[in-house]
Amino acid sequence: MSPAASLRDVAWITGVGQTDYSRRSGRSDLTLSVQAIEAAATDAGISLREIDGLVTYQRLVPVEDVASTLGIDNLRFAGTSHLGGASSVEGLMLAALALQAGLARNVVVYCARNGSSGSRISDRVLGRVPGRQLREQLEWPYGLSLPAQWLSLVCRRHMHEFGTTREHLGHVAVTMRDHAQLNPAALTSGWPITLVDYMASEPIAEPYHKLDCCLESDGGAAVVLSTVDRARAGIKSPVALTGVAVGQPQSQDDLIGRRDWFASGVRPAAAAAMAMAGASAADIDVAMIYDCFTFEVIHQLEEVGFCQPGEGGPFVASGAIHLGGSLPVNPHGGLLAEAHMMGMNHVIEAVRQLRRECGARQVPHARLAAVTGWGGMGDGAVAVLRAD
Amino acid sequence: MNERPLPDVDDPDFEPYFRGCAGGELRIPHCAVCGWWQWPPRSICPRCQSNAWTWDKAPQTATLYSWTTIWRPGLPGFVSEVPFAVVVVELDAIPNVRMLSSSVDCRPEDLSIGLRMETVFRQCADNVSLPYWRPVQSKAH
Repeated sequence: MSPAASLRDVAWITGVGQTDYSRRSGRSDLTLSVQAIEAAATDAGISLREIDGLVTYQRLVPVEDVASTLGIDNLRFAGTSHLGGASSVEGLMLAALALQAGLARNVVVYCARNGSSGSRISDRVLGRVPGRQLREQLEWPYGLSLPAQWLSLVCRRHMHEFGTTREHLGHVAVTMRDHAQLNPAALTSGWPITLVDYMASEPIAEPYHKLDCCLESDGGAAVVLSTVDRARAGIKSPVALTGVAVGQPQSQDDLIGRRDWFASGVRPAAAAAMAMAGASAADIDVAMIYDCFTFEVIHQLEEVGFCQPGEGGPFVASGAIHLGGSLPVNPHGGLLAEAHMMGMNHVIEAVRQLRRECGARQVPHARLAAVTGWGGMGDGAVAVLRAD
Repeated sequence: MNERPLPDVDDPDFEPYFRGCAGGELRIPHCAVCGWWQWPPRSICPRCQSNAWTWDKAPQTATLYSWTTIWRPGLPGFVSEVPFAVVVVELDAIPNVRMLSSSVDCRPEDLSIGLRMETVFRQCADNVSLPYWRPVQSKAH
């Protein structure tokens, strides 16, 4: 078996689940985790005791706490993903490895966080950022400490090299909000915005303004992965993890010194995941792009190969990423307009799109979906999901 | 906790750099084997894998590579400064060396990519001096 094919169709997503998304859940991170996992197990048609593998998100709720609470006493695989915002997609890869090795039969990948009412981004990032010594010695003394700040530097450079504009960024923000109006679970449901609203948004770290930034939210999300025989015996349409890979940029812990600011880990991850799936960007029917900020959508569209390098701005302004466009992106509204569930909500939406469960926001004939994850200073993970 | 964070100038991985700053010089790790200038400091040369670094004086003029204007700082001590610009510059003669800092003696709206800039050292505490960057003032530079 070639390396590129080694995880193809090994793991199948049999269940997805989430809590309500809110600004103030009133529940612990552990309770949110358990509720999301219960929902995913119900969706998969399995009992909680049939879960024998758990993968958690870095520095969130430990596997031990969840296993104990769920009454799982035969846990055979426990893993933690470590790629920042790419961790949800990386977690799918860890689950596939466990299934391929026969270590477990039903692996749950989960994340949950009170990211609004509990710790906020400014507290979390200071504690867990990669290359902490470099941050403390060379960046914090000048007041730079947050993802919005360091990624706005990359956005500014892209504007200079390729003519990307704030209006281009605004098309991403407005499109995500438009999509969220078709998703009752979205935090911004009932709160559409226009390009005029976007342009008037308060500055955060220019060129980023408030409406360039993802939501901070409370909630939990989980998916169940199993083998093909179990998937086909389940109660929902099976969805195959047909390609999955991670990738790192050069100088992973330091953006500033990286020779090519636009060469992120998403680029090699996408190439490897597409090769594993035997697919190309042109085959993808719907894409879930890790939209921590507006420009990162434009950037990753280029990195995966949905458009040429430098052409992401005009691509999003053309309407291509809107429902009805050539490549609908984040029909659920994404991190910008549904909720910040660390990208696990992107995996869930991809599965629901492939099952044709999405009602007003359903992408017709969706058969192949891509999901990206973006972490830290450019770690990448990409999954390709296929309807059976 | 409303003070600006200061670097640890005694950190052995950075001590030669901050000692240089205290003397009004940018001193950057320079590979004694292959001649590569490395920033940020790494224990091993990424080009030839040697660890024979000398901390040599680098050019103190540069070109603006990118910047961000910060309105909502995440750290204490900067709230009263907003808006302020964090800049990334490429050093003259060794443009693979990019350094992050803040601009001084200008407003954020005066910045544009490609702007010529020069180092200004400012004392931030008794034993801490840091490099900042300002637009090159006159043709004398």
